[in-house]
Amino acid sequence: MTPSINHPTEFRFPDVLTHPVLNHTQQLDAIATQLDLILISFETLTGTNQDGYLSAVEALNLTGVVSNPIGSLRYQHPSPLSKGQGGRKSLDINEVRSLVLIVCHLAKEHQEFIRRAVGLLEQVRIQNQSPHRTALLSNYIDAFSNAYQVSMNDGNIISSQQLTFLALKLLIDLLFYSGAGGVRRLWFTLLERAMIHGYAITEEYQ
Amino acid sequence: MTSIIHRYSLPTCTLEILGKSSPLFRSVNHASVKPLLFRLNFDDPRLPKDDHLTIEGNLQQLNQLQVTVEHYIQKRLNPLKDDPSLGYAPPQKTEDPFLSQAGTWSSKLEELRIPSLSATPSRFNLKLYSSDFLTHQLCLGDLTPVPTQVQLSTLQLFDLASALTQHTEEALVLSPPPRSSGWNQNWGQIAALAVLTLGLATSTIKLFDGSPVANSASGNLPKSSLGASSLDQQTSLIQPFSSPQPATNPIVDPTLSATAPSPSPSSMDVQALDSNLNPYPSSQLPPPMITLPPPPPINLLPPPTLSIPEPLPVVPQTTPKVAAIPLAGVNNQFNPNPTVNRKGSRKPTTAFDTIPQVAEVRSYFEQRWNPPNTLTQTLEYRLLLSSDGSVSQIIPLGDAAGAFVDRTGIPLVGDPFVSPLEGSKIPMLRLVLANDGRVQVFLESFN
Repeated sequence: MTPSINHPTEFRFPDVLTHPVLNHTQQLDAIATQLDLILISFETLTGTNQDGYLSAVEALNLTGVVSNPIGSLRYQHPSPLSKGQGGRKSLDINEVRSLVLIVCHLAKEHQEFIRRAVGLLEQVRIQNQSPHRTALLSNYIDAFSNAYQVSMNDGNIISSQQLTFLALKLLIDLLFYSGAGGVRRLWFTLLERAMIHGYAITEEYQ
Repeated sequence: MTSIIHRYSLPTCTLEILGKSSPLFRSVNHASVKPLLFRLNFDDPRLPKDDHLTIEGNLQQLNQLQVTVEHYIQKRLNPLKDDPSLGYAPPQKTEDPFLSQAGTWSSKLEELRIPSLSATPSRFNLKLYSSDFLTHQLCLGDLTPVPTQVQLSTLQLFDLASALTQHTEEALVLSPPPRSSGWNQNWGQIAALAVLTLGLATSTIKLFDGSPVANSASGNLPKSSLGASSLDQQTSLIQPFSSPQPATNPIVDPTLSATAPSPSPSSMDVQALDSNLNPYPSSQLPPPMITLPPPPPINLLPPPTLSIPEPLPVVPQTTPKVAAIPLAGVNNQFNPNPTVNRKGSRKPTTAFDTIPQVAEVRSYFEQRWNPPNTLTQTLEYRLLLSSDGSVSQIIPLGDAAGAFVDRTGIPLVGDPFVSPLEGSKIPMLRLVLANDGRVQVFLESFN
């Protein structure tokens, strides 16, 4: 069901993905965590399942590059330890790049729906109402919160307000990943995530 | 005769590229029409027509608008410091959940890790900032006769960015007009700034990278001040949006500045042996965007910014001199043999130029590098060459490098630059432009 490979093909990634070197496990884990967040947001908003991911893999000719199961951790190892540290095998850099392309490809496919959700958010914001007043946003926020608790929670107590905030931020992020330049934006976001992780380590141990 | 040669229609805005066509070529397709101006219509059909706005400008202004918008978006996309998945404390609660989320979001913008927008070139006084988590204020600066500020919803911002990016990507794909026009000069800056974030991020990532390359060559990898995380840069570089000057002397994270000082490029003299040889007639070069003053007197060079390289595949060193060279923490590969360029004339080379393109690049910049008088530090760039000898990627290393990228004379991505490469190896060069006018070029990797 899930794509796996033994011999990576010579897939040429877009130039924007060719530069950085991320071979530190913690960096890649941090990126995997961020990708999981984005994927949870995307899945709970659009209902995309494994078939959707596989279609994207085929459409992008990434079969043979991606070895890990595609999708958020909840499709793989719903472990409370998942948080990028054991929920799945660490991603390698090519898998990260592949996921960037997959996410942006799928986001583009669902751009109209994402746009509609953001439009609703803007509307309720103007009316100073809660996003829970709309079925689409309410369902999304609830589904995201549940999925997050299952897949990402490592025991910390996270308020529903915090999860709502995170869900809405990721929703807007998805919109920008869905458009022209989305691959570059997502890639840079992931690099920032890796950097944040590194900064936290430095801050703590230096 | 002015005509619309490209139109990008998005749900809430329309971008038109206008050009002048010669009567001689009127029947020819748009490719023969030189783009000159743009017209941007904020024509959201949800708004009354009175609220529609049209702005016009030249292509440099369009370029700057694109850079401004994209940089702002990237800032917004970055993970927040208190992202729960990072294990930080949750945001402060207030009475109104929705509004508190908005407030938290806005305040977190200042914590984002990419240097603030004001650190980017702010030519034409274009500015973009958030008013709350869903609305954005675009100050149009010189694009309008009177100061005008446009409030953009998130969807409007997305559409604006999409139109600008589509235009940029299309222009990059199309064969560029002659170099002498001011048109394609913009794209080098766009491409360079597009990777500015990347350069910053990876430079920081390198700091925590335990790869063995970190200890290569010099054996003591220098940690420059800007090798600190960009959060450090962010907190020290934030300036009011109104500041037109890019940050030039970032404050150093004390925990990181205590490390070994950055090597000074001044300790290495790689002046050209024959600067009169220049394969690039001035007629092929883009005109300078800004008239620059002559170089200031030579001073001691400040440490280069962001000089920590990311690890690159190590190329076997051909000479033991490598270890003595500053910046050799990068994987330089040197060749003691002087090289001859494709025209057979001797190029100014150093003992460290493995491939002739290094000397060609050096010669190119020695002819053209004219540091602005506002520059107080060394600029460093990483240039990735294509097999045809053009630049395929420009990576400014540091804020100042990003801010001054359009003054360096770095050719545009894809434009002819140096002689074509032999073989399939792609070189990555480090370009060091000192504020005293000196130029250094090193081969970082060649694989």
